[in-house]
Amino acid sequence: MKISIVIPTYNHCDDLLKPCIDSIIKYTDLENVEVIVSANGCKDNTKEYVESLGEPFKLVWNKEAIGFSRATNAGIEAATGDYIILLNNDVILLDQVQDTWLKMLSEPFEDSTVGITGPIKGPSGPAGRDFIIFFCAMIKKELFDKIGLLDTIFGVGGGEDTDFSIKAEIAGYKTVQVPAEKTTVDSSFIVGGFPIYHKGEATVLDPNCVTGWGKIFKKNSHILAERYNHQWKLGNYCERAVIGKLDHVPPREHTRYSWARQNIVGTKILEIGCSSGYGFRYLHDIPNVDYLGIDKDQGVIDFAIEQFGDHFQVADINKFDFGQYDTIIAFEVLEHLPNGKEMAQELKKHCQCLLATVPYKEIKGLWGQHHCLHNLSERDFPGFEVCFVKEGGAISPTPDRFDGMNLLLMKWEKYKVYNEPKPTVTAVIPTKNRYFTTLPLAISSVINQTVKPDKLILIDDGEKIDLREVPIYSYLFQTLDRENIKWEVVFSNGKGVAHSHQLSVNKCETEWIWRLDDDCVATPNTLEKLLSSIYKGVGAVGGRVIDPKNASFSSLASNKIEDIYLGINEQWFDSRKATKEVDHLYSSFIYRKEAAVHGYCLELSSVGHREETIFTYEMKRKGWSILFNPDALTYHFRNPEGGIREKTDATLWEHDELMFTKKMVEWGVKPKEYKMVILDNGLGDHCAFKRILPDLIAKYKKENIILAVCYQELFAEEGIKTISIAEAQMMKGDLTEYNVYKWMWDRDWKTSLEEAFRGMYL
Amino acid sequence: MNIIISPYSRQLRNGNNNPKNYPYWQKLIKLLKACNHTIIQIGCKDEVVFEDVDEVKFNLSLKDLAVLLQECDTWIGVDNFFQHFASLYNKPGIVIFGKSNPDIFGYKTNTNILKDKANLRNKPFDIWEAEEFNKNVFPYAEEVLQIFKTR
Repeated sequence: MKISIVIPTYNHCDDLLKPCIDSIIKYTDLENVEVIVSANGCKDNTKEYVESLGEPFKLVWNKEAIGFSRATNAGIEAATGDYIILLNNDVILLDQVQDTWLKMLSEPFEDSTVGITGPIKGPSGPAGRDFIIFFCAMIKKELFDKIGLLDTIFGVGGGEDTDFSIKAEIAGYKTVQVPAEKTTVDSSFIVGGFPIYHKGEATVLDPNCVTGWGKIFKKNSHILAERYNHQWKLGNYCERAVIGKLDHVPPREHTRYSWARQNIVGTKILEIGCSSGYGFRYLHDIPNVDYLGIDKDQGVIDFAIEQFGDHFQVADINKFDFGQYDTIIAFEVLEHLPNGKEMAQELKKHCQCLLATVPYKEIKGLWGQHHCLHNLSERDFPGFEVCFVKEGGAISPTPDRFDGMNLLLMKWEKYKVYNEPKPTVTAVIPTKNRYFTTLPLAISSVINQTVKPDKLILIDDGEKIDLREVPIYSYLFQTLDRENIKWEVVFSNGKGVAHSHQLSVNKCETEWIWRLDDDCVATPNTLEKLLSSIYKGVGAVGGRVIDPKNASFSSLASNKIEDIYLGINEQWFDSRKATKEVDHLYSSFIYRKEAAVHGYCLELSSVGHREETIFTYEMKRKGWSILFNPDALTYHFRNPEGGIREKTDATLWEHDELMFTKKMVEWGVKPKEYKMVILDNGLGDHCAFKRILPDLIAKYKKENIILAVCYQELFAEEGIKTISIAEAQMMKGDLTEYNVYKWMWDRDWKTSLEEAFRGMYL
Repeated sequence: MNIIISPYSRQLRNGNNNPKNYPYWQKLIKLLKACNHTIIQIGCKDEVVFEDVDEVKFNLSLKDLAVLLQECDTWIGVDNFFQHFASLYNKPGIVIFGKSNPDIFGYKTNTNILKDKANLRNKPFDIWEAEEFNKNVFPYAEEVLQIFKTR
């Protein structure tokens, strides 16, 4: 490995250059080393001195002073080594075993991605990045071929090393401090483990060499900031945090976007005052996210697009044509607007969920001159849930600073009621013969609610046991007493589900009724979440009612009445969506007693098939809103034993289905008909089926076809709704009738597999 | 010619050799190589790679498999998914059948080689786990080569 040491010098031969070169000779084996002195308009004895040294010392003579960068470049161009060490003339190697300094500089290059080493890697304020200081730096020669020589724009000097070091890192090279341990700063000295002394700025502070160094340094700092420091360039004197895709995110900014990530509903997101778009770092992986960030500043939007892609546009919030979004984010924006308080309420009209922050009780001037509103608190923003971000980034229900150093974190969701007194609620559990399986779990989950119901009624349609005599129930009843939840067991007449529910409507004296099956377990905040959605006009609210055995996601599920025969309900699946209006509800939900005057359909059989669909859809038809709030979660175990629908007589189900069909006609609902294809078999069978797909599309139209497949990628470009086999099983139960091999077997099939698929589906 | 070979049908749940797997691939590959053909073996990882194949492409995505299919001149396989896949791209090839019926599971656009109809299963739609492997139901490599040359 050949090394070229390049020393630019400008006068100071006797007091700087000679001691420097003496120390090189003393502590370096020069066999594979050349030393190039690039004399930069020297008027002293530099030329004679260097020429007197002989090999391996070489002189590059520049008659005039051409500046540090040019002089150094001239030395680099003359160098023949594989590695080049740039050394200032005001350094002296300190006492060491020979070549220690070269070994220290060289060792990191065993890693081929290292481009520069040096004794000090320190921060550049103007550039906002760390860099190797070139008073002593070893550089791989290939690096100059890739990114060029030192930039001569820096003239006399100062900043060229920062610039080169950053360019090397951008090109993918590492810059390494040797030794790696941090140097310690002692007054104006940096004391480290590298055996070198650097006087520092010996030439530039010599008025005989350089005049106006302060101005030069300032000008060069400006160049660096323009090139590399987007916070300096775009931050507009602390008005905004300008953070790029690789930059560290400060704690408060990190906290508020992490909080946003957890609280966002839906996928269509608008961020107002998005600055450099770094919030998108926290939101980009939301499935199917449709994000738009707006900011008034063209520069910061250009930067955002460069960093995070085409998700941003320049816009003035007061002139912006909003439209509708699932979530709007407005972090530290409202205080910049004279109408910020009104804007907070206005934004609610354009979204399902609004997430906003403002500095809490900020003293005027604390955060610069840009704020129009000061001393903001929760009183200025009615109709929000609030909490606080402390200075270090922690979220707290209460503030600990009242001077603008805390952030007020605000969340609003449509269909949530803020600051209303809790309505009265009766929990109702119709039950039959599940006394010793799931019923105790259901009761226990009622007791453990974060918001307790006022009363629990058990409607016993089964054996009518006196549960007070049963130990487990005596414990449960004692606990209900202790929790101040009244309770009552009512024996019903054995007429089944619809009659039991109707009985509960007649008996309940509360404003709301919470119906729960006897094989359900409501998670602790279920009632709290459901009640959070009961604004005026809402008749019923249901949450997720999930069978833990089943798939957790469905792209098909629907609570529209015309999709009822899909047999797949949104409440059965996890969802990130906001509370929304639906046509009907399933199983467990709360409903307003006042909205139940139409009553349950008592013409249904005792199994009460589709009783809740009829009950809630008729409620909707009477003008009440029916809501699905996915935040509320109840587990439904579908206990195969017992239960109020416990009847094996298929004719009861058929009777109820017929009743329901008549209701659909009465309501004027035309159910959507889907052509369901289920390919629960091998890839070859999928391919064979795909041959008939054009004919299937011609017959049924793409939008009416549902493909349940094992290999979705085979149909990815067809524009047809595909679902998993697990989803198909939820919809159809037994899939045997969709097995093409059984179909062929039953028919003693003699022609092709493709023809069999035609026979099945066309 | 560039020839794709798709030598294996899916692994059976009981671990037995799938009765649809052709037993004379190694010989057939040597014969094809002697005719200066380039052989590309496709399949799944952990399947046995035959000697003398020029390239092995396992676990390709369907997209990559389609590209490969379009780039090759023809293909030879057993009664497995690949004949169905190739039919989607109208690329004819040779399928070596043993006990399964080409009238049901094959395509007329391909050259379907069946040694003897008498070997066909009585219950053509039963699971393959219920079937024994029998190499005698397949044609020899020389016969397959002869058909390959004359098609």
